[in-house]
Amino acid sequence: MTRMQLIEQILRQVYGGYVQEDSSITPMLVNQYIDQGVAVAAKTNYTDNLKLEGISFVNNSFYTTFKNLVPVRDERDLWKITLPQIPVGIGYSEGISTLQFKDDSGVISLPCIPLTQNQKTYFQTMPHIPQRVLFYSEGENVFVISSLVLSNYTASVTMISGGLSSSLNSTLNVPPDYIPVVVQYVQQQLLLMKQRPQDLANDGTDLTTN
Amino acid sequence: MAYNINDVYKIVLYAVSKNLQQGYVSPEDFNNSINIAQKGYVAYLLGNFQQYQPGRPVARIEFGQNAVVRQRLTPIIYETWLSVDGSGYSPYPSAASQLPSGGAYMQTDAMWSAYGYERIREVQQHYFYSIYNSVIDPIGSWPVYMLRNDGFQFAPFGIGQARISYIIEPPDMVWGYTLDVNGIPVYNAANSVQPVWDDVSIMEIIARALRLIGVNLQYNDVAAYANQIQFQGQ
Repeated sequence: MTRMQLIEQILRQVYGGYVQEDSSITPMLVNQYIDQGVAVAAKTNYTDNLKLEGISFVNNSFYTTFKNLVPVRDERDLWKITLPQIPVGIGYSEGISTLQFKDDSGVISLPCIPLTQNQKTYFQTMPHIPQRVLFYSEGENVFVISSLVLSNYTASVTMISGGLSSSLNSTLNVPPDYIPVVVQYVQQQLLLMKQRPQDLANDGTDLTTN
Repeated sequence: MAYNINDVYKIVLYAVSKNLQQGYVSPEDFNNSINIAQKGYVAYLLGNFQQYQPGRPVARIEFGQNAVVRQRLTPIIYETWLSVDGSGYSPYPSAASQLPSGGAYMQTDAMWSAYGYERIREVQQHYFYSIYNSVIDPIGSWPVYMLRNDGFQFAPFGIGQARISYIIEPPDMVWGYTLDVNGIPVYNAANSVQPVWDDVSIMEIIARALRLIGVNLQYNDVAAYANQIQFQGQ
């Protein structure tokens, strides 16, 4: 299912049919809520798995690999990669599952090892892990600890994401059994918006909120 | 068979019982009444403001409600391209371009971009600030327009062209005539302007004209008949 298909489905539900030209709930607004709904669905999947399997994980269908990300030097032996979106806050590093580098000839490195913010405070005193590079994420950035010149490589990051949110024609990376979770979340937000009284009079006075 | 203006005049004269000497409607009075009735009918199809409820600005009968209302208005629904200047302005479609009727622009039905049928949304001036500055729906990708006294203000300003579906003022009907040897007006199609409406609409317009004529003649039967048709149907 593409994002636009889900957007159209949600809009038709909210408006009770085809959408009129003057509708104020726009596809891009729904798209924004879908990104939030995907995170809610991933979290639901995580807790569902914990309840059912006794192990916490997020199903593969939620993951997207973003390729050709460019590392830039941030500090000495520290490289920064900007992610397409902030990883979800599930687990200590569930948001990003894999980080790898690729050189010009297409050779792919071993996956890098994630650090939590806690581990970041003492990892230098621990024994070095051979042939592996460490990284940690902060917001929309991934910081890679390496003395190699990483600007000669491109990075591939696999992370929980609904896919390419800037393209409405992109496939939505959510398993079909969790689409209803996304739909329910988005509907709640949009129906709340529609139920609010509108300030139709431009009279210099705001609406009272109660 | 669509009614021509002479048929309409005959129906009106019949209703006021000209032959029974109970009333007479001169050609000038008829032309005035029928055109007032026509405007009233268009206003009725577009939706009467008086029927709006607080927080629900919808009339009992309103344009866009269903295909029946739209079908009645089709004789005055037109479509054209607008050329938008560098400051995002385009005048309303000119009356001269609404051939063959020559009616002036009255109300926008829908507005699309020049590329396919992407919508260009109408916004009121007091919403323009938040829509123009929206980061969720950047104005460059989601264009809008506002109504001005003499045309449309588009944003983004460099939109270039737009495609509009709109409603025009219906042309004024005229029962044209020449005087015969006795000075009696005789219908002349050559200097008449025919109605653009289908037969169903003509009946609605006649009913409205009769109500006005009934008031003018203080003729309660005619007014009552007209009211009955208007509010209870034919």
